[in-house]
Amino acid sequence: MLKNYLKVAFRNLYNQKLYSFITIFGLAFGMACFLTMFSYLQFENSYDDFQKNGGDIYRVDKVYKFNGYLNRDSRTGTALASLLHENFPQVKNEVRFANLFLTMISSGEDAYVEKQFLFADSSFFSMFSFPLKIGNPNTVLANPFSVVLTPKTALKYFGNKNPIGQKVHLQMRGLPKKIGFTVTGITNDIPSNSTIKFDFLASFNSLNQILGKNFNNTKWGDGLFWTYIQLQNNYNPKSLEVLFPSLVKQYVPKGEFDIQTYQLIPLKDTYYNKGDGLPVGDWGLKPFSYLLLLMSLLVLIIACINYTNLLTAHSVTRSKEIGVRKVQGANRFQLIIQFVGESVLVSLIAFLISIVLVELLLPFFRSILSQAFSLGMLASREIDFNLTYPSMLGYMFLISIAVGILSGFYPALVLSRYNPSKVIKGELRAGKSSAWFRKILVVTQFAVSVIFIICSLHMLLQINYWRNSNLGFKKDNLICIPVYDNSLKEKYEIFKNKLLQNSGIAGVTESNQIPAGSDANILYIKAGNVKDIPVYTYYVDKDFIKTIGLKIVKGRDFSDDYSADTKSGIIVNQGAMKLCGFNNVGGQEIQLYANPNNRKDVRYTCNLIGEVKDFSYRFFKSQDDPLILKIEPRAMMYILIRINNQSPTAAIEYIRTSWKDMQFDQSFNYSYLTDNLESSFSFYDALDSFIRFASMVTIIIAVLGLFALASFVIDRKTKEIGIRKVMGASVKDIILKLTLSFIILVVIAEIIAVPVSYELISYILQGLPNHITFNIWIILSAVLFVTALAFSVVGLKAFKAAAANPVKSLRYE
Amino acid sequence: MIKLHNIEKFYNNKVIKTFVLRNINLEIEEGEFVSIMGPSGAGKTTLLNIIGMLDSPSEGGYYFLDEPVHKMNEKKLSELHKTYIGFVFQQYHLIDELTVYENLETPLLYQKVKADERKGRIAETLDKFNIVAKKDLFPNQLSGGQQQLVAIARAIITEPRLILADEPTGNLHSDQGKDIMELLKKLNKEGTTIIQVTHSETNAAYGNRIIKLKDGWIEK
Ligand SMILES: Nc1ncnc2c1ncn2[C@@H]1O[C@H](COP(=O)(O)OP(=O)(O)O)[C@@H](O)[C@H]1O
Ligand SMILES: [Mg+2]
Repeated sequence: MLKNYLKVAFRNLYNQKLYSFITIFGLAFGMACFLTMFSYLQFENSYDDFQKNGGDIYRVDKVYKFNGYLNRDSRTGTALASLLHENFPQVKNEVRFANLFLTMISSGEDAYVEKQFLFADSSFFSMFSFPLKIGNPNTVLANPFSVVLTPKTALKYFGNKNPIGQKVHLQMRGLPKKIGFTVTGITNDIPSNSTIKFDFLASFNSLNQILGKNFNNTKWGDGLFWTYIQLQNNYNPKSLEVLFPSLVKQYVPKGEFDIQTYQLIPLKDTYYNKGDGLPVGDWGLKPFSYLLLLMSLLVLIIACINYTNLLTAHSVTRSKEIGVRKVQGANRFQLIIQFVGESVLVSLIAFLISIVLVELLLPFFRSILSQAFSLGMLASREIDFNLTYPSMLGYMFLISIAVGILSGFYPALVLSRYNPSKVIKGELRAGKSSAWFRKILVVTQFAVSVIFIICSLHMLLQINYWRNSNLGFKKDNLICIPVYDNSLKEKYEIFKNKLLQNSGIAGVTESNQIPAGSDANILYIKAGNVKDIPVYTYYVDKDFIKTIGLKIVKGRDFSDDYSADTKSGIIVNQGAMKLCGFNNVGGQEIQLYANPNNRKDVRYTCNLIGEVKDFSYRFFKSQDDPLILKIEPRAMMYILIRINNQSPTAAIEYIRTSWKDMQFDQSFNYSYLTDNLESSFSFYDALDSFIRFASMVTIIIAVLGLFALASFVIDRKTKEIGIRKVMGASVKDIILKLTLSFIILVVIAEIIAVPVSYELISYILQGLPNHITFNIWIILSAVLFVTALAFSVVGLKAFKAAAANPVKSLRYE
Repeated sequence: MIKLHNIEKFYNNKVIKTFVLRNINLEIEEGEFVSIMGPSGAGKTTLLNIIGMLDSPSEGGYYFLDEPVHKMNEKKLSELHKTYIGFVFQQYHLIDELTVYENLETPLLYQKVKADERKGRIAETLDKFNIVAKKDLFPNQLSGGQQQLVAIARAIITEPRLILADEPTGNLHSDQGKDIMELLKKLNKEGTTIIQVTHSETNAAYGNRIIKLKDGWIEK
């Protein structure tokens, strides 16, 4: 019997190629999307599963008060680990991490920008499960200036040479010279589902010597230091957490941060729970991942709807078979089994195709996901997830069977209900109830597609709005070079003068921040009665304002004519003027200090010389947050060069050769400021890529489905069309008559979709900084586009039918 | 074998009740070859379908082998017509996606006949109908007469005691029709009860009894 069913099923699929193609590929695409997102979620949920001690490892987060609010940040400073160790025997082990993010590493002639240089205490290898290929886990990180490499890094720097005992040199911003590290071990490849990731892992105690006095400054402050602890087996973290507030009171001084307590985040939770600051390793956003899963599920549902729809329409062609089978003794249950089985078969074929599709889609998904979580210039992230064969396929196999049953059940029900005596008398018309059902399905399909399209277009518009937003300075043609080599600071003026000799270069400046970056330092102001006002601080040189194109509204720019400017001149933005209550520039002594609890420790005593118009010094943040610009050559982190836009390549070439001539101990490496801006919203960009993809897939499935449906309906009407033509109907009349019933469905879908997307998009946009509003033109163009698409597809089919010679169709019937 | 007692069939279309069969009283013995005749729309097909249990009467009693069909549930009905009744239609109604062999196999599958016996019976039937050479062809590769031959073969392969044929030669040339009638005659001789609907006096003459229907009434 099964063979009998299978034969009929396959021959039907083969005989109706267009219909089979559209249904199978629709389903396969839906499944591929869902399969990919489902495996991504599985991948995310598997983070750190391989850690044998994972259940007892916790990241320690500081909980501190800022502006009256409690914040939680995983960056803890360097002193916490030993404090915990000394006070709590429950703490079995502890590891501190430091992440330098952007560094320059060299070995011999080879120098590369590296973004995964990590420091860890020597207990690292006993706490975490990273087996070593070469080296003793207890000693590889014991001595200062030791480094452990991953196999990939070893290959990159040393090729096939034995790397053990070799040296790599680290150039770090703020360090006077290169520091050599000796390779002491090689790990196995780091699993892609590890939150802790590194290419280089150096001994933490090196930092003591590297940072010297500065190391102590970061004891409790932020810095890029993290603390992980391992508790005694199965010890309840809550019973430790309750002891923290009193520990803080006793030992942790009130400094830059008003630390209240510490919180223990289980290792397994750290991935989705990064806190308010930057985490040491990989992190994800649970809502984002589930949103993607939901979107892929919608695509799959659309594909199922498409399939159910076509199946229901086509069931009429199977009515004779049903009648005959019933006459021969098939009962209703057997027929339902047959047709549901057929649908499951189709679903399984689609499933096989979807596996191939997933392999094709994965690189695309991976690159978008990596983009979503990249930190721009600071760090890049490779999201390297794969299908987890075979468990994944097991799930998907079950899901495709479910898809087959769900999509096939209704059509099977309709089919099996056919009354054989009627079928055999040829009285069967496509049931009215199923026509209604089909219409509802078409409307649903198009409504979802239109919602996707409208959301995607808004997202695109929003990103463009950010891209082109007025930052208050001229962001184009600004080149940005990160500074690693300390000697560069001494030779900066020479380099600058050299660059300015070229007519292609309009200006050169430097600062400790990238304009429109993500963060800035904070200092506190005291001036007259005003005190303890936190203001963001930019350390710059005298040409900063000119070069990036800020506007002076009061007072003057930094100038060579006033020798005091270098020492004591500051310029503030309008926001700071207002906040501090300054009315005029000049005449007022201003003190800047880092710690409001220690006002005596004055960093700078200054004079206000000018006021600049507010600008977006931090992207996405309000322009009128208070800002000070201060000349401070020692803080140089980026060189900013404005080039003329006539011949950018020549200008860059000139910079490159000048760089070479200067013989800096750092290879030439630059980016456009605008590229860096992109990374501020790359997350949303990635989200939009997904929505765009989903909207493309759904609209293609919907339109193809509509085409197949229209073809089917119109093909059955050839006789009617013939008769109408013989009676004098024009081709135009017939096309209109045939097309209208389908277009009405699309229009109804649009009428439903528009208010829904209005609500949805308004909600999404409200959560975004600097957001646009709902755009009527997008709605109109999306609606017009979809209607036109549907019209042309159905119209094409209708035209062919209407233009055919009526005599032929009538004779044929 | 078949007893129809005051059978009525009507349809309720909106407000009007249209009668198709009126007060049908009929007895057919096992081994008979009955021809039902009458103008188009007289209710012949309806009557045949009621006898074949594809349709149910609106009123009256139907006894098949002395069992009350009008009181049976769906399951019992399908069981009954599966084992006792074979159908032949004017439009042949073969399954287009199945070959001749597979079309013949299908009813046996629904009767849960074992594979060996299935093969044997199909081979036997193909032989009997002289269509062995056609067994791997699809219906649309056969002529109308050949298709009807296959349809009859399919009807008798389950060895039914009753064959219902609704205008079996209606779509065929006269000599093709003659072959089919000869075949039915032969089956009747071998003991199968046959009820056919026909418009042709010649075809009706193959049977041993003629029932005339007009406007739903049996003409006396
Ligand atoms: N579902 C129905 N509703 C109303 N009338 C019907 C229905 N099915 C059949 N009829 C009517 O019943 C009558 C008998 O039909 P049928 O048995 O097919 O006639 P015959 O086979 O003798 O040509 C016809 O007049 C037909 O219109
Ligand atoms: Mg008839």
